[in-house]
Amino acid sequence: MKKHDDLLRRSGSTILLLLLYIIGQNIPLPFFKIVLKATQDSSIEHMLALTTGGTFSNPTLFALGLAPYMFITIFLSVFTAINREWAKRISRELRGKIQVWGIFLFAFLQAFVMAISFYGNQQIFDKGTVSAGLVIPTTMLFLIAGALLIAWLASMNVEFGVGGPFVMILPGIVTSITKSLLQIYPALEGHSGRMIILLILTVSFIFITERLYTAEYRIKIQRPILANQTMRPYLAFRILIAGTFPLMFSSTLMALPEQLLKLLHINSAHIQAFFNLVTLQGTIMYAVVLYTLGVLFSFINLMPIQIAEDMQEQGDYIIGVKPGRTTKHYLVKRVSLWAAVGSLYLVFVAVVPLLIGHVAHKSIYTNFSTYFAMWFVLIAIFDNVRQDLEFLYYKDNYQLFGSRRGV
Amino acid sequence: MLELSKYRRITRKVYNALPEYQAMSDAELQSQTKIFQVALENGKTLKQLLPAIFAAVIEADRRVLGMEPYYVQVLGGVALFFGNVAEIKTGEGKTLVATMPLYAHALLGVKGNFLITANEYLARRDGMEMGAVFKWLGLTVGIGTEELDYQQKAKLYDADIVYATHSRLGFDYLFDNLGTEIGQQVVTRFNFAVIDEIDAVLLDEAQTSLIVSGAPKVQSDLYEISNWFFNNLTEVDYELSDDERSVWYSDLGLEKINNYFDIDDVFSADHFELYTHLILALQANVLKEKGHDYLVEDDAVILLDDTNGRKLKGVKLTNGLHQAIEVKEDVTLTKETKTLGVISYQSLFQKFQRLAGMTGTAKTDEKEFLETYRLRVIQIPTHEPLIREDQVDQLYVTNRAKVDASIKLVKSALQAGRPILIATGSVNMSRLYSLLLLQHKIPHNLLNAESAERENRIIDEAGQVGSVTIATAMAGRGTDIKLSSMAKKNGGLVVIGTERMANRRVDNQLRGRAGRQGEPGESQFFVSLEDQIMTENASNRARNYHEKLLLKVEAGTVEGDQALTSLQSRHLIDKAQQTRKNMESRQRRSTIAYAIILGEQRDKVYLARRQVLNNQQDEVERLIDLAIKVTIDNFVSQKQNLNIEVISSFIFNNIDETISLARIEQALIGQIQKEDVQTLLVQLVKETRASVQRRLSHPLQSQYFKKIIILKAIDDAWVLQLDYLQQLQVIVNGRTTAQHKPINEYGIEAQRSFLEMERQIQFNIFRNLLMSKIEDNANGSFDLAFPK
Repeated sequence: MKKHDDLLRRSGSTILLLLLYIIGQNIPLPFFKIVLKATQDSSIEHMLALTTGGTFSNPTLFALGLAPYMFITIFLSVFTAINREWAKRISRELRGKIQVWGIFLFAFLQAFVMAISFYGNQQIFDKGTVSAGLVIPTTMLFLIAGALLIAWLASMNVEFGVGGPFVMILPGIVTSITKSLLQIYPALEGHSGRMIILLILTVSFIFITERLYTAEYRIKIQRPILANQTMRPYLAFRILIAGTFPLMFSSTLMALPEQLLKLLHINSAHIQAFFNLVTLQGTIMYAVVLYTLGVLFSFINLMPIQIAEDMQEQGDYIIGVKPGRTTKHYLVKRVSLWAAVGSLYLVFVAVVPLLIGHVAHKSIYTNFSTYFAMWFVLIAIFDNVRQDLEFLYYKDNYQLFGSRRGV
Repeated sequence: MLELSKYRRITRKVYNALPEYQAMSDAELQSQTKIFQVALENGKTLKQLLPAIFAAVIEADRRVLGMEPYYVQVLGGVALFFGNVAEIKTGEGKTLVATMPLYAHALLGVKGNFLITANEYLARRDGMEMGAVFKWLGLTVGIGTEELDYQQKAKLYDADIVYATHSRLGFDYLFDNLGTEIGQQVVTRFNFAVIDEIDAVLLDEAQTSLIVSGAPKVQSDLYEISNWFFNNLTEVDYELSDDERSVWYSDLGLEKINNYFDIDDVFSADHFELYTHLILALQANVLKEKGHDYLVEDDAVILLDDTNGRKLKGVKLTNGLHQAIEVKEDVTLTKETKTLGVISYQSLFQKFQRLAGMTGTAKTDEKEFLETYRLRVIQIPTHEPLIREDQVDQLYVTNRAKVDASIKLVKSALQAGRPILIATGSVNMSRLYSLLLLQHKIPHNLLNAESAERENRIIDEAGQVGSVTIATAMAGRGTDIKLSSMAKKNGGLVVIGTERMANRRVDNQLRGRAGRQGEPGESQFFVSLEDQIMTENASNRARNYHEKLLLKVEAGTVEGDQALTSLQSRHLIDKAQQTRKNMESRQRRSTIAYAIILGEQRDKVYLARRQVLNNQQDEVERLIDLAIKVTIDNFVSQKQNLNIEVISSFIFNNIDETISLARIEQALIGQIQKEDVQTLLVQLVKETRASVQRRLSHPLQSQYFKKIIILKAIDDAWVLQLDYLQQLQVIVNGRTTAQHKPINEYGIEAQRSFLEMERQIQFNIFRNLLMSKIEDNANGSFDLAFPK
């Protein structure tokens, strides 16, 4: 049966790649012990691990996760969005080279910090046995290799699988799920009422977010180059323009100061409070960071001014709106509106649990922030996968006068 | 490299086998074909027999043509056999190289072996020349020349080896699947093809598909008025993009539009058509240049190919742009037509079991060949070593300085007694140079799209001492400039490039005119920062650099007429060409992705057509029954259709206009139920169908009628679908802002509309069956008029 050949092949490839990833997640780094119980890492680290698929507290080959790959990908898309002329003229090879070297660079920096952190963590490393001069470079080497390997898995998935590169986050999310649930469980134990509430909240959250994520705002445009006017061309963008980028970046930004401080051996509880989700200052800081990133990424993803210029060049226009400056204003206004809406939703989802936790003086609520963020990321990934699957499913599924009809 | 050594080994085996075949008598050698064929039937593979097969052809070439292939030609033949792109330099005798792999693959007896040439002339020339060898060896050869009737076409494609152009093959395939002639199809077998100038066909022409068009559309009358409006504008009324590929109206221009046409806002929904035509007029006048993009001849606008400078016969720009140019040049307006059939070269050639190609220029694009077509590029060494001197490009700030420098070289080459080929980038530039040479009192020949009829004579003279030939890229591919012995002694042909061409390959093709077959020769390109390749593709940085240089020249700090030698300058042109190549590569990739989806639909439709043509009567009956059922079901399932007006309208327009209203009303009294309507419609259809059947007394007539109405139904719907798909491609590209992959959008929408097309076909069959007008002729035949 040649039907769905492509679909099965691609799904199979993705599953295979995910399996490889899971294996890699469990390969321990030399010199360290793997600790199996659920450690109480700060929630920021947890968030970071969640959104990048790394296992920051466990010294494994894939500890860095997709973080370097993500950063360079986001960095490149931001750069090409701003500098479109440059993007048009570079070859695929050059772009690929920049990606690889970028991953190497980010991995190097992160590996450095992580190696030192592992070295100092008495739970997994016994200082007496080996010198720092041997451990740290070796660890870094392995970590960087791991990061590059993950990047390779991700690009293999783009070529041969479904859902694009970020499907590789899934194994990391699975480990995070177990951690989250382990930490939430004590609060739910014996309180079936709370469990039901959690279930209802989860389901409604998934439903609402899924609707919002796939919803589009459409602007009807006229395209003179199209001779056949029964078609309805439109400009479209997602309501949640920024997607999950703010979440990914905010966790890094919030984690950065702590890592820097650790590096410099400075211990300032005052500063740390601002970047700890349990404190009020930390919560507010987090909200601000999320909102700013949300708006920023919305504009970077869309570039309404650029769109207006392109439209003018191609002779397209919005009905009743003059091309050029008028169209620019029109688009900027609308993008700003949805950027604000989308970012507020994001902040709402991430921060409300934290605020509740603060008011109720129960730190367990911070886990809910991570919990819902996790579902958000999952929805985004699955939307991507669904698009690819749909396309593959329908590609060959029809025949003229055949008994087999598509949808 | 590994491949080349493998092929060398095989070539050695060929030469080992050769003596045996050289010793054979004519009759013995001719009988080898049969021997090979029997061996293949008995389970031997072509690969195993390859050395023997090639040896046989080599010997036959020698005996029939008096030409024995050189070692490098045999090597090329081996490379082609295995399905590669063989980079074979000009003058190395590509035609002979192809004979070996073609003979080999033809031995399989499955037909469908092609040598695809660049033009009809070559198809005829090579087909006759090389065909003699194949015929001598006992195979049949077909040569695709103009104007063949059905019988001749069938015979042509039934030959073991066919020499034809790529467009002929493509169009014959499309025509096979058009119209309602119940005949056998002729282009059905695709075994092995060797494409000559494969880079031109698969890369340069990948953006253009073969289109069969007809069914003229309704003409708009806004072209003239839009063009008149443009003629009243000045430069401030519109703006150009940096790369000068796009143009739009400035605020001033828009104001003028609103004033002249006395409208409030041209961007309101009512004035869309007007605005469209105004844009077309703008594009036609500002972006398209006579003598560069097109010529005007015999009251028609003829497009020019930008990679080889030749006239593109029968090609028009789409979506009204061509008509806008026609109005601009005051030429009779031609009608816009609908697409009846379309196929891309990529789709066409992917049908072959094995594909190979030859060209003098492929290495520069080997990645693309590999990625898109899975073809490896094998560089075949030349028989004599290449001694042509390719000089480093000379770069100048201004056009003026560049031209002056090039004239200097012309004069010195003339003095040295060497023939000169001056390659220009467009018809206009070629004319300019001609004037310049006249000013300098240098006699010369001019070869461009306008003087194409004199091409052979001009080329014949081009290799003589004292000969100066100005040409466009026409003198690139396939042009054989033979040197006189005096010219050779003086140092051979000098190719002077007056600007870098559309891409590296065109440059290299022009260079390749000199230094053929180990002859001496030289190539020198002159470039300026004002050349088109720079203005269209240079980065902003390059543009700024250019402006700074211009200022320096004015200030006198840089000599305006000196060549620029800094490393930075050198890179600029290369980068501009590379940029263009990347862009075209990207465009090709996306075009191909869409063409694949369209191709899949086309294959399904053509398959359905074939099935109808070949099917038994009961299959055809089943299709018609299904069409009737589906159409009626669709109609009654929509609630808003269940009222007397809609129902009777449906009956009058789609079943029979003579049915009385009274009858309908009688059948549907009171509350109209779905089932009642269904019963009525089924009954009416049955009656009408029976009466149609009675008109077609003879069973053959009846069969023919049924098949034809189905085919017409499919074709009408497919034409609309083609139109839709071509527009869809443009539309999904505007949706990238929602982070959908355009190709995914395209695939899903295309499938949705395919299913709608199926419903449309059912409906068409329904109508055609019941509403066609049958006119009996005296001689027993009938004429058929389909419902509008």
